[in-house]
Amino acid sequence: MDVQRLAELASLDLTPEEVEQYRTQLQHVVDYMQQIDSVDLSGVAMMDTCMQEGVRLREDIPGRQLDREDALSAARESHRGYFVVPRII
Amino acid sequence: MVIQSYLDVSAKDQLSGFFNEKISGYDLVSESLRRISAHDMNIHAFLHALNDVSQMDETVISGTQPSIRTPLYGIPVAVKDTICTSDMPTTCGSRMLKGYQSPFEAEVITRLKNAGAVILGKTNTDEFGMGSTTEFSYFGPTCNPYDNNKVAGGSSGGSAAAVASGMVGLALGSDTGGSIRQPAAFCGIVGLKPTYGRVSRRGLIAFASSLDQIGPMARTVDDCRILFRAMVGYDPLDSTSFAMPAIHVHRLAELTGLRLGIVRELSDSDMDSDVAMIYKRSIDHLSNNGAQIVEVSLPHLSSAIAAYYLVACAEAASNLSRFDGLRFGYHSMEGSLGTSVSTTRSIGFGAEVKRRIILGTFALSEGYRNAYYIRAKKIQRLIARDFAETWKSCDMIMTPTTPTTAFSLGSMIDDPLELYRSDRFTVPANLAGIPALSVPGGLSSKGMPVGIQFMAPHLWEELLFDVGKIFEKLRGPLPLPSGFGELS
Amino acid sequence: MSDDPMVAIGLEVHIQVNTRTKAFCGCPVDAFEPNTAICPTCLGQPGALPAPNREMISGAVKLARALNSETNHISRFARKHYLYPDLPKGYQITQFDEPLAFGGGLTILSAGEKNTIRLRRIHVEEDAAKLIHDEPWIREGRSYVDFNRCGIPLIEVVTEPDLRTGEEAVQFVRRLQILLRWLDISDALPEKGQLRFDANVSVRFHNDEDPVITEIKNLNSFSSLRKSLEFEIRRKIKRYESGSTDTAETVLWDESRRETRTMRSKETLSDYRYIPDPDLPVLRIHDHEVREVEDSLPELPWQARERLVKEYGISVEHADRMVKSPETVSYLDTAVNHGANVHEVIRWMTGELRHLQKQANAAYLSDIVPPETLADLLIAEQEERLTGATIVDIIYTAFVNDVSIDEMKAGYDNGECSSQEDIRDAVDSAIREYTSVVDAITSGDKPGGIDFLIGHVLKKLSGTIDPKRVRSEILARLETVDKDSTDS
Repeated sequence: MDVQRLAELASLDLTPEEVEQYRTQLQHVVDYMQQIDSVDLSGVAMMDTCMQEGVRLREDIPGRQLDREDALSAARESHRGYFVVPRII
Repeated sequence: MVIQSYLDVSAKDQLSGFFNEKISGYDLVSESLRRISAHDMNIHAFLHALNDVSQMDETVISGTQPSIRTPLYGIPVAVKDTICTSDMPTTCGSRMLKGYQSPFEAEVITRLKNAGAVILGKTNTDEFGMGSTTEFSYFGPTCNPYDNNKVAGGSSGGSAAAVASGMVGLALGSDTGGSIRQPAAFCGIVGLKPTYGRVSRRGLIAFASSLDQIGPMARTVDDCRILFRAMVGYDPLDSTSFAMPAIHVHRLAELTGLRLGIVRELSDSDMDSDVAMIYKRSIDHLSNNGAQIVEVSLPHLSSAIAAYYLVACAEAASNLSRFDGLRFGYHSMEGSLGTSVSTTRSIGFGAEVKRRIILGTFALSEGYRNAYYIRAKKIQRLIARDFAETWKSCDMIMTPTTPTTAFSLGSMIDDPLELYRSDRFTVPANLAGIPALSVPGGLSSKGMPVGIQFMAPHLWEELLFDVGKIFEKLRGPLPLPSGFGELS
Repeated sequence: MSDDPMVAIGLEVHIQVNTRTKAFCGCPVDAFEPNTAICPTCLGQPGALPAPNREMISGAVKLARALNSETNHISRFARKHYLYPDLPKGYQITQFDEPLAFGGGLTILSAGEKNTIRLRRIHVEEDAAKLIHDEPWIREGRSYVDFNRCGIPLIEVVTEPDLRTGEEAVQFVRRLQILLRWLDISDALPEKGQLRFDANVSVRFHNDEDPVITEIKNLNSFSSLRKSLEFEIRRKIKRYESGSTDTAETVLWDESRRETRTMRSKETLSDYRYIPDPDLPVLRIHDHEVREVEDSLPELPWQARERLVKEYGISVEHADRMVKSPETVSYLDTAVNHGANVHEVIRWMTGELRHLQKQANAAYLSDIVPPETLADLLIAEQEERLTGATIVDIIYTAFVNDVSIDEMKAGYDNGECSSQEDIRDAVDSAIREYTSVVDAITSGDKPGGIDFLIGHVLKKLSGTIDPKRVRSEILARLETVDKDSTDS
């Protein structure tokens, strides 16, 4: 398990100690998971959520919204009504 | 032990107390708050509580008899801190959401308020619901009221301890792999995981979306049922919530004719001797009073933990992708965008959450998806089928809720796999989406509670409550933890 | 065997759908001020859940059937994961291996011949937020995010690589644009971001070669679509001729430099870790729903054009001018069926009526004059009972004064009406004669003076004249008088 690469994919910045510790712990877990290889899955489909009749569609009518100032007040940074983030290159 | 106050009687009696003007909402809530301030430094069940009674809804404070009898009028309820409230912070036990004020409240909170309940406070939880001891909370663990050196269980440990210690009579928890039932078992109270889709998830901060359910926790089955009925029901803004009407079962007054399934794949070696003893005694209680014991099989039970953790961690990794610190929550102000986001996530999340994100990302990543995530989803379907098969020969299935009693603090946090495996009796119900109730079966030789789990087909919560109530009576009174209800 | 290079171009077209609310929440889609159409769902707040928009689905089904694509009875929503500030949940809700529709095609002209470009699939998804990087008023070292666009419903149409030139690609998307407006699914204006393209292009030089595919992303105009494809094709040919190898790349079109440039590898991270979205059950589309959509489909633009040419014997150019919307085609049909000459109707529809429609800002031609009435007037002209100029008078006056055309026409038929010219002359002379009254009216002292003028004019003219016509003529003349006096 390439913990370093997975951490990058998930945008986690791990210390070398963490990488090592998680690798050991998770390898242990993944080894335990190997037992699922031996289960006979021929003809079995993935589990669905229990809604057999299908998703219910919402009518195209406006609903309740958030006040902009409320939303911006929690942001890392904001300016002139926008959420502000470090420059995307 | 003498019952000290109206806070300790059943919700039904509390309600009649209101309507007969024996007590006011003020009485219950202020008693509750007194106990919290006296007791909670030892237990650490609450992360946030009303400061004082003046924060309550005015109509309840005034103590006047309500003109409309709402099902939970004036009754204080504690809420697990993974459930959004708009007038108290919602932290999910995480540094990432420390101080976070949700702009909206969860649907169940709205329903409870409409039913007249008073939201007393937010309870401690393993971070984002991930854990089985509440030791993974950024704000410190919650202790078991029966033994402060032991854990309250998790992830709804705060709610369980709050109820068990008498600080409050009703609480909400959430259950993804046992997070209501296991702490209920560890703390000697009743907890229900409803059928998936019966209670709206809107406002529950998601861990594993296809497994999560909010559920009631209380000291008795009756109280659990009252809370459940106030929460349940279709929410058109939660696409996974059920629109089917509830199944009303004739009130079961006695057990004759009830077919109780005992799982063949469960052996004595799967559990502590204390648990085994109380489990066997519980089976005897029921069979001696009319229940018919039937052996049933869950052939894929041994794969349940593996399937559960793969599915749950994959969905958790996905659900936690939104925490980047840019719009809300903890944020690092470090330089570039990429660094800012990854530093935020590395500091904001604790170790267990990060581990599960890595595991979940692994299970979904290119090259491993088929071997892990997809296989796990197929095994999930097999487990659901196994249960469907058992309902042909039994009405309910009975198991211990957990293989052991509460762990000692600090004893399990270094061995993730062992901790995961301890959920093996509870995860099957989440995978299948069926309802499951944990009722205390008794105390072990060391005085720690042991929980008994009942599982039923989809939508049969009322049957669970009926049988649970009969079981409570047959079991007899359960000794309360020392210090219960005391003020110092 | 051909030595000519074989170009293969495929397109992914993203279309913003004309709904009132977003794909998965009730936020409006037309907000102007930044971040004023946001809610917990489209902002990706914890605890928020998606609720899919019915109009988005029916719009996609309508488009699918118009393009002869087959709708899947079951399709699924999926999460596509990547971390970027315009994606608040850290994933986009889209469709992956079970799209809403597949197959079908759209016909274009390739070297004068009809050529059906095959479609691979059609699916629905949500749009991302808008990012701003280069405005002078933003803080240094920052990018700005506006979530108004986040969550707007998109239909994605993916073609097979059947296109051969940049010009064909533009033809394809122009025809798609006509169809989208025709069916009122989208206004499809690229300049407003309602129509966006990704293109993939390969050039095969020998029959046995495995051609390298270049992806051109984020094209937002017809011209950049054409130019970038032509550039890439030329570049690939040059590379081949110089003997160097071509590498598979993802590029962007740089308008200022008129060339493509490679996207940085981080931006093309491809492990999206798709999972079926656990918050959304399967999307079921039943046969009867599809049939309802089919039954409500109007005649399609190319069907209408062919029919008009065949049925009325008009030229393709004229037919093209008529095939602007289902309303214009229906207007033409109705007028012609009522007996008018098709060429006359076309002349009026593209001339005077269009002019009036623009002036009046009317939505439909039939708001100016109903097609049957136009037909009657044109027949009268043909039978030399009315002149063309009179018809203009009648239509204009009736529209401005809200008088029935039939009445007016009857008046003209009986020779009772004065022409507009007569009225103008009479008004002019009245204004010149009664300058004091005119002054009183324009200064606001005596607005009622206008009735005096009307009465005077009516006396001078013969026959029955609608006083309102006189009033409007007077007002129009007074405006110019006023202007003259302020100018001088």
